[in-house]
Formats: sequence, structure tokens, C-alpha cells
Amino acid sequence: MATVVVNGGQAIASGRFIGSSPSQAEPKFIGWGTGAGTAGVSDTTLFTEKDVDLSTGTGTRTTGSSSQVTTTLTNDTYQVTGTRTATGAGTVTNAGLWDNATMGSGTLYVKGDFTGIGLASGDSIAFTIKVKFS
Amino acid sequence: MEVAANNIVSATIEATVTRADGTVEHLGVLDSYERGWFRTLLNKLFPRHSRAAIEDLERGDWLDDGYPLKD
Repeated sequence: MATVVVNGGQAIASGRFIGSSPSQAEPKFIGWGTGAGTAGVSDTTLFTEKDVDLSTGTGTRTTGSSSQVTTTLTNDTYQVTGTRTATGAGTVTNAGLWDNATMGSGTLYVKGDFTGIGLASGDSIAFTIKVKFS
Repeated sequence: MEVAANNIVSATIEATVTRADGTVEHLGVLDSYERGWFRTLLNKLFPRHSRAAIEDLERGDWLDDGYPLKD
């Protein structure tokens, strides 16, 4: 199991520095998937990304709320929080942050895999995803 | 020349599951086996510490603050 900033995420980070209104979108869109595997830095997709209906492979990611928070040094951590509520049952095995809300589009920034969380319709997961700079 | 340990990024995913019937399950940080056993150990060592204090210990804050008997 691992949670990583993937290689494509480095371009997102550097792109966000450019200009007063960066053309690089903020990676605050939360997606989840149901496939198996260990997240790696070369990954560009989630493992079998699904919509809130966990039987559906197209749809929309959840727009998270982003902030700077302190882990060790003041504001050293980028944090995105958001809740996805299942409208169809399934087992969530991985999640990540994207720079685009539409499934099948955008660039992956962070990806993590974990022990599957079985969800029935109406169950929800409140995610807190953190990227700490040190 | 020494290479400074800087400009490193690390990521974590924490989760709380709320069931349709209202049951709440705090899963904490999802990805780390090591954190799992370490938290268990800390809970055994400091059974009267709050969850927040255990999380402080888990993050290594006591390395800066001194012996981990705060709370």
C-alpha cells in the first residue's frame, strides 16, 4: 500500500507557480476506484476509477475544499477534503486527486491505495488528502 | 557536498466512513501498515492519552517537544 505524488503531479505543482492566474488548474478533484494494485509514481490513472455509483465508469469527481495546513512547519501542507457518497454499491480500494472534475480527463496528482472499504448505496467516505512539503 | 533533505513531498489519505444508517467509522490514515502498528503501540504505551495526543506522537512532534508525556 502506498500514497504517492505521481510523476505527472510534479508538472502540476510547477505549473501552479506560473503567473498570477495560473493556467494549471488546482488538483482539488477527488476520485476513487475499485481496482487492485499498489500506487506507483508512474501511474497516470486510478485503479478502475468509478463514479459515485460504484458500478459506473463515467461521471464526475468530487470538488474538494483546499487549504494550507500545518503538519510540522507553518503551512507546509496542501490539504483537500471532500466527501463522496455512494449511489451504487462497491468496494473502494484507491483514491486520488486530479486537476479536472470529469472522469477520463485531466492529470492525476496524488494517488493512494488501501484496504478495500465496502460501501452500500448511501454510505459515504469523507476524505482528507494531504501533501506535505519538507 | 552534503545534500539537504529538502523539497520532499509526502502524501497521505485519511478517511471517515459514514454509513447510511448514521454509523461513523474513523479509519484514520489509510495507506500505512507501519502507522497501523505504531499507533497500536502508542495506544498501549499511553492508554490515557487522547486520540489527538496519540496523533501528535505518531507524527513525531515529541522529537521536538521532549518526552511524550504531555496531554
